[in-house]
Amino acid sequence: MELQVQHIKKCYRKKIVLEDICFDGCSGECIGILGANGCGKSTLLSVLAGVLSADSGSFTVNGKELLDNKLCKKSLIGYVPQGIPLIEELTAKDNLKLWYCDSPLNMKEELEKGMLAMLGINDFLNVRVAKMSGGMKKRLSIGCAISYNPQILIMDEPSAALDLICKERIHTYIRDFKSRGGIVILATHEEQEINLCDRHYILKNGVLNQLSYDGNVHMLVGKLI
Amino acid sequence: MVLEYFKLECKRVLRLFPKIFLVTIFVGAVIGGIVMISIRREPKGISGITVGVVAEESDIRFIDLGIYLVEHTDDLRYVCKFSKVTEDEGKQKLESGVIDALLIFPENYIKSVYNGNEKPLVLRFGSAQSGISSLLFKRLSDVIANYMMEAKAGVYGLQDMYENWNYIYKHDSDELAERYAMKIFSRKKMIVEERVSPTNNLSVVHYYASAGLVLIFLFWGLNCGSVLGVQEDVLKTLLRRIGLSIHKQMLLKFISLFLLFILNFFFLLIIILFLQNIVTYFFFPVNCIVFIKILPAILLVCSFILIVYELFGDGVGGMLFIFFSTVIMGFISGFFYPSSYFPEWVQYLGRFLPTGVLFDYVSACISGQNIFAPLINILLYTFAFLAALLYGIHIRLVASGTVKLKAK
Repeated sequence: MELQVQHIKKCYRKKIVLEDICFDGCSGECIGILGANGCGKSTLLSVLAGVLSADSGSFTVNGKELLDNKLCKKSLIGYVPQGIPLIEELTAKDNLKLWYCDSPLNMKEELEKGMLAMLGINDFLNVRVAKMSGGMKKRLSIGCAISYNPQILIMDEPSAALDLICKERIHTYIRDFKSRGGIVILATHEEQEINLCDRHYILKNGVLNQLSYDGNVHMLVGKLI
Repeated sequence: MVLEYFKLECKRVLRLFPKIFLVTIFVGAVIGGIVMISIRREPKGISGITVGVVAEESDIRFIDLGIYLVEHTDDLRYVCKFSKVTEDEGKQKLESGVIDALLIFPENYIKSVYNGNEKPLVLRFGSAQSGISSLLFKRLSDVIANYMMEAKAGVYGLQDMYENWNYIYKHDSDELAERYAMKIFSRKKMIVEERVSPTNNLSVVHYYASAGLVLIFLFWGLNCGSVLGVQEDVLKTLLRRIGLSIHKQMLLKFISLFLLFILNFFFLLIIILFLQNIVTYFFFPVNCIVFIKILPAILLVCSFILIVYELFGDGVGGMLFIFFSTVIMGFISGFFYPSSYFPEWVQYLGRFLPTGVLFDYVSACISGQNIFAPLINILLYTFAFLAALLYGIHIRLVASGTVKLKAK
């Protein structure tokens, strides 16, 4: 599977947030998008996920244009946003029902031995979202995002503010997703997640530039300023 | 997807039902209590004073006009009644307390007015007096005296004018003066009589009950902060991404809110019916059929509540807006003070506010009037609010950058 993002542009009123964004990816890769707070990482991921519309550009997977194609996007792309896209008053099970009702996957099977089991959602299946910890909510969000068995996973700071155990669980899942041939596009500030990525890009002043990263996080700071 | 979302949305609001129902009982009890107290304190009728009038046949035409005029002044309209009697009859009735005062016009009184030989009127009081009656009598005396003075001034002024200009009288001067006095007394054309009914031709009970019910419905919206106030935009956008548009989400929210509302008031009705059998003093009979007829009004209330919370995006802002807007609209529509005392443009405005539309429908249901036209208004307003809500969402989506891409 090959992914290509070309010349994506996005403006909010007169302010250019994303200018001529280009990058590509292939199966089994994790692409890291780095940048200072407010540089437009979430906007870029939202555009790729189809939550926001781009002003121009293209996003193709195996030659198929996705930006205007909602059906394809739904089945190909899973999106884990920064916020918590869950209904607070309901349990984990009820939230999953909403996402899995039209899904090709069987929710029960996934809970028993699939990806949902890997995320450990069984441990809190009947707990109301309002009573869950941050880690539980994030794992449940990921569980909802993969309901359509996507091949591309777009994640916006998935392990921010989580404990080490939760972080490790999510990172394990990302490694597993990659190993099954999926592509992960990850916006992050976490060192562990940066190390998880195969390629790194820095978004600065609306422009995306590839970065050669040698494992030295401190070097990144200078690039971000 | 749509069905699943609707089921989960209903499940979500049902989880909040116990808390919402408790607040509904509280709001209903407070407003219901105020309404019941207002109804029971409404005076059954204002008992005023009765004045007997003694006058000669020759003056009776003027006296009748004068009585009519005096009886219809604002000061005395509801508190003073006149009845024509002979002097002996009047004396007897005054002593026995049948009348409270006796107004005696001397012989040829009207002629004496325009001849300038004024004879005083006699106002004889009865023996049993109260402080209020004394005030009323004073008011009565003032009113009569004012009219008399104006009539005299008019007549004398006319006579002076004729003298000064040496006009030849085309008519007898008495006749001319009589004509002028008639003009002064017959002010029917100068007074536009308006039948002002503070309760818009509804009985007091129906009026207060309708206003109270509309207030309970709208204040129920204060409850909805927990249902509608906390809304995760990210969830809405993600659901939109997988095919459940935000418009569909809103319509499903509206339906689930409507069902929650009905459930609340159904249980409230059961409680009222149960308590009614135990403590009859505090309740007037609740008619279940009327309650069912009123249900369409809830459509308008739900659409109003939904648009408010969607506009504000948070619980506190929505609750504050609902509270203050309900109080202000209720005031303009005449819930707290009869709207018939407001200027016409305010009355006109009040009829077109949601509170006015709701009141018209609810009062028609309660008083057994034709509900067809008010029901059409309810449905039109509901449709308008929902359309405005959906359009507002569309504008917000465009403004937030979710516009259609022209792919290259």
